[in-house]
Amino acid sequence: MKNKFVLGFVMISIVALLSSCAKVPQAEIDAANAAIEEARGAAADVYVPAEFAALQDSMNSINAMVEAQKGKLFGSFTAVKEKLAAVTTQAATVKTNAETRKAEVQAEIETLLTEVTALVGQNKELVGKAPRGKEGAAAVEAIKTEIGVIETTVTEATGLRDSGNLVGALDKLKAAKEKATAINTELQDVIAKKAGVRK
Amino acid sequence: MRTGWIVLILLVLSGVAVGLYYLLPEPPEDEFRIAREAIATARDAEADRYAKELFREACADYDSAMANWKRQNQRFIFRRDFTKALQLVSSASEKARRSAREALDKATKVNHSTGATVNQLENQISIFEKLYAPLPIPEKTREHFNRAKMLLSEAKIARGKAEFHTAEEKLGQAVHLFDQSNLQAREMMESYFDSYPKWKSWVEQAIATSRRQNSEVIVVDKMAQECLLYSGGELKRKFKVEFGPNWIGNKEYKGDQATPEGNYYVVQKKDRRRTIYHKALLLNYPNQDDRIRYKKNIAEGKFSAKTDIGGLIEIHGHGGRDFHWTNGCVALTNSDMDVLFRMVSVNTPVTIVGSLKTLQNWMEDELAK
Repeated sequence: MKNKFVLGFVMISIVALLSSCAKVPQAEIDAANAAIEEARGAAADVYVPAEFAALQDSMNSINAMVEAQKGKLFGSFTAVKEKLAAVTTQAATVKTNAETRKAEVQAEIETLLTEVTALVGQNKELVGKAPRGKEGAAAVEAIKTEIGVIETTVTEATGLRDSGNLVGALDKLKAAKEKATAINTELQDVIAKKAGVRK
Repeated sequence: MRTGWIVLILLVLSGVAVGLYYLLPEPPEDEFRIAREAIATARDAEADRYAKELFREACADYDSAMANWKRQNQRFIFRRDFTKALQLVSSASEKARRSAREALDKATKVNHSTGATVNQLENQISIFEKLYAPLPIPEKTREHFNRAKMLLSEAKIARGKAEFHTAEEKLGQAVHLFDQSNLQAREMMESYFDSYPKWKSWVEQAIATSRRQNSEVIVVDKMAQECLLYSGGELKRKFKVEFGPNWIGNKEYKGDQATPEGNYYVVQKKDRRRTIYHKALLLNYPNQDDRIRYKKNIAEGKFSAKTDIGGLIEIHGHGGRDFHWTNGCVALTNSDMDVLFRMVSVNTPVTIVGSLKTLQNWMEDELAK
């Protein structure tokens, strides 16, 4: 009887040694992955790409830690759990940052749209007032076509904005504003010079 | 006795634990960490953009290695074998490092190549602006040119943000559009200057006539925007002139706002009482050549038979506006018109040509200005 008891104890001890004592924190892993997906859903990979890449790196590192602990005789997931909690929090921050940046880009687009539209309107008026210049009608036509191209660019940018490509829209509008400002300056200079001559 | 047994069992268990600890295969943690770092470095070097395929392979190898590690962890503790996972993760590290190097090389090359393309395109645009932008080029050509300029601006913005890939894409589109507009403008001018031998011959004959008859002739050079007065075969005066907006090419019909090219003569001198343009010299447009061409155009269906050939082409005053505004006439300032009006008479020959220079010479002179 005594021998059986000892043998049973030894067997149970061996089984306990061979099986992992700690359990993989699957719920925490799922929560972290879900938080990362939420950040991706908020286009964090577009608006805060460096932060998002860091987040992914952290998660990859945790996955490796999990496997390492699973392979150990006395694996412990305490550190993994702490890191998972940190990643979940970080993912929420990255998501917020992405949303903030997206809102900033959106606001910048709207401001630029207003500015470029105003500049285009002003340029159209100035073309009418401007002296024809040495190159004559061709120069005026050139400016008119340039204004037309700016308008096309604005339309393209609006299309990109509506399809969700805010970064592409922003870059187009920046180029359009640069061009519209250059035309505006050129026209105002020419008009000012002409006015100076008349005096 | 019982204590002895317990001690023995504990010793055996401790021995088993220590033995297992040393016998178990080592998890490949370090190799995976190294691979992750290599992949992160490659991503920072934009390998996902500039060494796309290799970087994708590195990530795929890492994922496969990870999957293999997971599979091994599911096996009985003594049957785990990380050899395959180690091979895959080493391959991932190696590919990630190579992709980082390739990406850096490619990014440097694209940076340089886009920089060179920006400079080249800016230079070409500046030439186009000097040569063709002031001319009445077709609207489509001008639109292509302006779109190319806009894309160049977008490419420069992308370069400023070190987004060389985007810059390269935009520049590709800009170069394509610019090449189209440049080719169209160039072809338009080459086609126009096909008439140069004819223009040259007309002018030489006009000057020879002036010399032979010791009389005045007027030569109008459209590209130079000049009206030249010869007397006795010598150039006496030069006046700046303006034409109709579509001054490149010949006049075809009424209302095309083009100035005719050919040999004409003054049919009537109009003083202030007979013209609203200060003073005017009425020419015999359309001449016989104009009529033949007009009939040919109708026969070829270029325009309907109801289209009027036009007339009332004059050299007149009210010029000096610095742009081409007439309906096809040649306009001088009123003071220049006074001089010209005094020096010529009815029947004075008037030769209107596209240019007194070859296209090559015209281009060289324009670029030298």
